[in-house]
Amino acid sequence: MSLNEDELIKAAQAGDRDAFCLLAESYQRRVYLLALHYCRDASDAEDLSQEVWLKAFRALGGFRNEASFYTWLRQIIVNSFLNHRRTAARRWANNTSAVDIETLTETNDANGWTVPRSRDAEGDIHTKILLERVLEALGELTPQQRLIFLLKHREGLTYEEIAKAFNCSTGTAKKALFRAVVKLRQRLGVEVVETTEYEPCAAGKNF
Amino acid sequence: MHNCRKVEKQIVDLLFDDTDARFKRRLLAEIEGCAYCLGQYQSLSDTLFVFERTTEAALPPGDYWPGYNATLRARLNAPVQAIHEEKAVRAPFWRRLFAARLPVPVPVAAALVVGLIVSSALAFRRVPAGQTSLAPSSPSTASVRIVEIPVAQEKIVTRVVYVEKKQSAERVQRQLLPAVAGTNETTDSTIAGHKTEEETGFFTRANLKGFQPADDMKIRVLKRNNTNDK
Repeated sequence: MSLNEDELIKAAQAGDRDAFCLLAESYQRRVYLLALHYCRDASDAEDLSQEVWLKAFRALGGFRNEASFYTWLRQIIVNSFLNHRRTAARRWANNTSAVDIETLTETNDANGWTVPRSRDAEGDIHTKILLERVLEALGELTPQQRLIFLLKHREGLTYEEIAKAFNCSTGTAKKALFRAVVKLRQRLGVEVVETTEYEPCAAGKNF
Repeated sequence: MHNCRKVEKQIVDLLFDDTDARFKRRLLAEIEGCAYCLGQYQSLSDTLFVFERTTEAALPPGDYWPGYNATLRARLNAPVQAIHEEKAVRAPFWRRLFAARLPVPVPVAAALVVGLIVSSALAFRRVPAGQTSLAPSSPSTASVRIVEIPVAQEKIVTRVVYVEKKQSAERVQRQLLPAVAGTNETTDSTIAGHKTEEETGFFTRANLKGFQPADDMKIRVLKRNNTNDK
């Protein structure tokens, strides 16, 4: 018999760990992905996301159903992320080796011969390389900028919610978000293409 | 009038779809009218698109999650074990004392064990015959030998001398007279007189007859402390 979220929450509040694990399964991918983008390391992401769940289990008694469970959980995520002592930053800073595309596009068959991967596998590899670049680019952001970007882009929080979570003004949150996106663009090497169809405005010249 | 700086601040709202529909249409129209702003908007949109494209690849494969859940369950059960351990700590002191653990590095522990073994072996080792032990188990039975040492003895001699004052005065007179009459006669008579006095027992000088002085002399100073002795 499957229980809905409210029933799982009540059971978990009563100390049922299995119910809490079922509840966690509903959101674990989302939390893990956030942690991965924040930490930029798989093992750190696992640790951090599980830390979030442990804190949530301990604090579940204080959940009053005034907001959705995930909204309540998000505040724990933000606090846990900001308090997280990251050690992977040094690892990423030192990891300057480029991905060897030749080794990634080849694989060994049953006889041990090296054969090229399929076209889909090549696409996957391309995506993985892109992911590495994205994670590296995220490393250029400050932890606050990174988290603000993730909360806005991945979680869809409003500026008011972000400002409340970071105890700052909405203007500050908006500026931090803009800087974060510009830094990501620069790091990812996305070019700014100015179309020649339009004449630049007068204000744009002085920008 | 179009202002790129102002639009740039609003591009963020457009990127994250944080505006109402009317404002969005108006802003898009304004951006399309400016090459610089359009370029900015497109590049920032592309950045988000690249980020979004990698999201799926960032997720671990499906066989990862059972292990993740098992780890989470184990961590959730860990506090229960911690509570049990805490209760064990609250046991009586003697039980805690026996259950106490002290984390010691292996080399240090090995050195301590070796030292203990060596010291206990030295302590319980039997002393061979003919060797004296540093810590004797029974009291010593040394033989007593009496040695006589010569010591300088002190000897006190006390003689009581009675002097008759009258005769003594006459004797002084007789000694003075020969100096007036003549030296030879006086000498003989004096010697004769002395003999007579000696025989009659009136010889009053200190008689040290039979006195033998001690080998060593020791001077003793007697002080009169008592006023009645005056």
